[in-house]
Amino acid sequence: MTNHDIRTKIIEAAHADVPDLRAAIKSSSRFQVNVRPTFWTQLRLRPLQFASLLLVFGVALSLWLTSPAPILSEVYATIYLDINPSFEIDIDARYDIIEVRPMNPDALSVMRDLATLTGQPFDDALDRLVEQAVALEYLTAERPVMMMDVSTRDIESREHLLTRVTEKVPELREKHLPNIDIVEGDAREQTSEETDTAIHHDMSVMRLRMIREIMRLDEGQQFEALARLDAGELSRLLEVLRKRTDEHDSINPGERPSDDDPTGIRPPQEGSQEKEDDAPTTDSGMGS
Amino acid sequence: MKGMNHQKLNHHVEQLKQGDLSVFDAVYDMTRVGVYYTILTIVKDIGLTEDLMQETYLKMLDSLPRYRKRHQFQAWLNTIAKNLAINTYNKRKREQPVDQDADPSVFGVTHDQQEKAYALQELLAVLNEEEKIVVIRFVVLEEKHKDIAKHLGKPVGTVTWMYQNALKKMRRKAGEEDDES
Repeated sequence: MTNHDIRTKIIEAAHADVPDLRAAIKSSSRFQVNVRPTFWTQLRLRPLQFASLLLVFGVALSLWLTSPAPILSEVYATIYLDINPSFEIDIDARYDIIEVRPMNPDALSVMRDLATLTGQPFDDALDRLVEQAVALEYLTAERPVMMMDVSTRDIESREHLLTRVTEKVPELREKHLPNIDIVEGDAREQTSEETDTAIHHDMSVMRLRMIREIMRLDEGQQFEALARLDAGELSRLLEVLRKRTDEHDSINPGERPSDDDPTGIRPPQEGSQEKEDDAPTTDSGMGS
Repeated sequence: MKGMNHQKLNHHVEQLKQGDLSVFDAVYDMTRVGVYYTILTIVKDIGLTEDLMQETYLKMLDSLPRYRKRHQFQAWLNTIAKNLAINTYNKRKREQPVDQDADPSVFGVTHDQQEKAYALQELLAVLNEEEKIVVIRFVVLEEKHKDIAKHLGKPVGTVTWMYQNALKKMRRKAGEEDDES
């Protein structure tokens, strides 16, 4: 007898010994195939794989929730920028852009040719806005000044942001326009009347307030004429008028506007047009 | 032939997976030997093996929607049988104190099965218990010497030698029987 014969005998014997349990199996109430696809078969994920995914998700979620970093997409500050095109820019705590809102038709034309600025660092976005404003000749060697303000929850953050922008001016000069500058405006706590008027005149509230302040200090000034000046010219004019008013008040303290006058507007002064002509040309911007 | 059987089995399994229970008999016939001896070599109790064999097939039907074709069906089914057998073996070991005098043979027989004559038991009667396991695993379950060695905790060379020695013993016995007849 060969090994092959023995193996054949073993296999035959093994088959002969295995009992026929089909009847017993078929009589069981569990004798059925669940053909309905289960959640796991449809998902093609084993419970262990699913549990792993769930664990990773849970860890990520808990890290995110316990992270000391502020929640992104929450507006940390709003930056008001007036290049004549006027923008409101919401940024998050990392100074990344959440939204840029064009506030007049000129701003729309600047943004039209720009890819989205959302998610970009504010420094980069400012760089691109200035580049586009120069390309479209809103910022020129003759009109090189922008106006800006920052609205934040606290004064400290506002100062920090203003300083940060100021520090960027040399870089903007080098890259885009040698005499570019930024002056500080006032855009905080805007009233609906101010917003409506600013929109009506296609200008920012900062510019409107500056013009109104100039007209308050010098009633001879005309709104339309002032509206044509750029931010730098308005800023210098306002500075001169404030200086003159202070000097006048210190010499003639009795000539202060009456407390009964709710407008606080001083009576018309002679030669107000001359004063405008006398406006100094010195650079009084934030960046100098 | 083996390849054809394999194809046929896969075809039946796909039908079974669709809920066609008429092919169960064919699937059972083609897989029962592997299932039976997988369990028997672990629990070493014929009565218990039969119970676990039924449970294996019922569990297979229950788990069939999760079966993927890339696995060999027989190997997948044997794994179900093996896990059931190991679980039962361990459970029994915990529940019953180990009886040193108990028969540790592969063909330990219980209750009503004692009356039945087992062909393989008679054929392997000349072998010791380890040799029986080596022969059953190698010839019936078609396992490799390497895997059997791993299971028994012995070197592959020892397992190969045990298998050759077992065949020699069986040949000798067959020769004696031929002489007698």
